[in-house]
Amino acid sequence: MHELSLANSLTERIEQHLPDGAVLKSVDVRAGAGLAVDPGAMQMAWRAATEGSPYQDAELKLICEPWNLHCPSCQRRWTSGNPLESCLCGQTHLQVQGENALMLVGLEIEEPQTCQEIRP
Amino acid sequence: MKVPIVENVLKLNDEVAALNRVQLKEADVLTINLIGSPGCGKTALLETTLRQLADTLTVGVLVGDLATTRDADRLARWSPYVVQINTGKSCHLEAHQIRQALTKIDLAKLDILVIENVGNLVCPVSYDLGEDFRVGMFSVCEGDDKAAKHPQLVHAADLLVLNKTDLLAHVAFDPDVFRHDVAQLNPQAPLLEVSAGTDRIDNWLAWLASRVERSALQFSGPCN
Repeated sequence: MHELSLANSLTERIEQHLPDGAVLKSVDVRAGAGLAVDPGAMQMAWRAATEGSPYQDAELKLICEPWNLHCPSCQRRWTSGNPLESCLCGQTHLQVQGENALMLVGLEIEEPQTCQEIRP
Repeated sequence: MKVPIVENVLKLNDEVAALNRVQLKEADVLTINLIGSPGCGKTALLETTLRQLADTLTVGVLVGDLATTRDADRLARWSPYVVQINTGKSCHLEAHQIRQALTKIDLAKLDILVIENVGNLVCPVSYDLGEDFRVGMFSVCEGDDKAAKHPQLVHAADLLVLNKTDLLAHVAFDPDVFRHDVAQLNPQAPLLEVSAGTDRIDNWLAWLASRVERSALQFSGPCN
């Protein structure tokens, strides 16, 4: 299950970007259609990868992108979870595109509390 | 507070893969990442390849398996340049494992290096290893729907291989269904139909030879 390897890599990337002292609330990730990531497996892997770590309460927000389809006959463009769809015009040989990458898009953090010195 | 980032999660793997690619290019070694399910015939294809190319090209193999050295032992009968990578529980090879394996093989002696990935049609697709070409392998025994069921591999492959064609008369496999699905998912990738078990791999050998020749021409420069 490569989702666990992806989750471990994700925690490494987060560590590079998380400001010192900040608390991670959630992480936004986008999986290309060409990557074969199962959302349920990715959530499970995220929990396993972050258990006992400072990130264990952070939410993984995963968007799985669909395939981009283009019909060379009628030029119609659309997205679908099925790369083997036929076009409405009857064309069965479509141009299929999908990214083969897992992208870290952003973090939602709680900044560290700063102490204000109270002067008498 | 939102912190926007746009970064590939596998950035570290890709950086190591880039190092592998540079090292392999400098050694002028054509590198192939062979991905296919367990039992589709990856090792059999490589055994036949090593045997038939013995007098023509020098081929090395990095073999990925969870456990055992059985595949490496089979291939070592035909080539002294075979390294086994045991991944333990990991279902795919990653670039750092290739980097380490490259220290155990003399690239100066090789024309071709094949990375036989762990038997798996899904997970290896995500990991760049530093290869020149990614080859997706299926067999007629798996069913003619397997290309459609694994669109990520078919879409990402530079070449598709369909093995065990000698068994077509004995299995419920419609080659036209398989060919149609492959063509739709990846019209650019050639589909080679072979039978490694009966030594019918001439099209695969021709493809390899043409890629080696093309690579040599790129390195020879305008004055040669």
